[in-house]
Amino acid sequence: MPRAATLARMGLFQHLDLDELRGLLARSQERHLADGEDAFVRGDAAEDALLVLDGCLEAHIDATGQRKVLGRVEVGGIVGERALFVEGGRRSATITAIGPTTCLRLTPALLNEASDHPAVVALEIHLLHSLAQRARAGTRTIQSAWSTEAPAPSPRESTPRATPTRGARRRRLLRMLWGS
Amino acid sequence: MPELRLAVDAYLAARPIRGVRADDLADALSHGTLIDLKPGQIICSRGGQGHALFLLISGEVRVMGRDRRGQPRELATIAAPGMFGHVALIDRSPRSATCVAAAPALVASLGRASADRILAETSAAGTALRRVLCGSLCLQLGQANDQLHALMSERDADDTVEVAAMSTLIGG
Repeated sequence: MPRAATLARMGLFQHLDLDELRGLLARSQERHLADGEDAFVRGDAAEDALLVLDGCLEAHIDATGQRKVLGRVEVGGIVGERALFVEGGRRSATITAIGPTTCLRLTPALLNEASDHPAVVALEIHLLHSLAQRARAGTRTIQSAWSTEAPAPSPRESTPRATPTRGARRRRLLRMLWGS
Repeated sequence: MPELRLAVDAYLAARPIRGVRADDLADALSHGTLIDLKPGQIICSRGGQGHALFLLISGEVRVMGRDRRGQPRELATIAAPGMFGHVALIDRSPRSATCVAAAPALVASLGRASADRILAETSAAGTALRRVLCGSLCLQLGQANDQLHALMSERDADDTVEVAAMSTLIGG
């Protein structure tokens, strides 16, 4: 299937015509990944994002020596979007291809050079909603799961500790998600 | 609105957000209104609709939630220049917390109708507003991810919750 038609089937580009999508394709590059190849490695400098055109990516981290799978990104999904909006960031997870996978490489330069292009606007609006939903859902997940813990002391009452307890760090995390 | 422009400059200077010109962001926010707040005045309430987003220009705002017994509890304090109220405006969910002025404060409030219109624009103001909101959310989620990863790195920890939360935040 031609790439423009592939993009047109994605929800985020549903209001765009094929010419507009060809314009996006003309300004960007594809990245081809073999099965098992890492697209990003946690901790690496974040310089671009990937929109999955074909195949599948898996996000994972290593914690206490074990691989923890965080989820999969299918066709139409985007990974690494932080690089588009934040300078000097690092990858928060390792992203690995599950089977041969083709992605469209999205860069900060692309967004700057085509900031008024309808496809770039659509992309940014899609990411804005996705990020807000993640912030909301993450807060709810943590709030719900940790609601059985003992009530936290008020931030104004709490005393700084040299080594924060696990509970204290959980509460700090929740405050971070709520208060930004 | 010179106060707004100064707050925008300070907000952007403190955050490594890409591709946002202060002039353009100030232009976007100038479509809102400036609100003087007295100490104790409520800006937005938990459970309410996200009718606006706010840039705190001066003063402090307390973010208040409820603990598991339903008692009010301070969750965070936002210092100027800080942005808040944007998640509910974007995802149209009810507010998750109540925001109260902790001291005399000045906020720029951009209402939903104006925000929706500007966010959909191809103008420089539209680009600036989209990117500052995306950048702020990326920073917020990134910090949360780092905290979650630190929790998961503790041996013998039951990290089921952290894995689930991190999956959500990363979006996998």
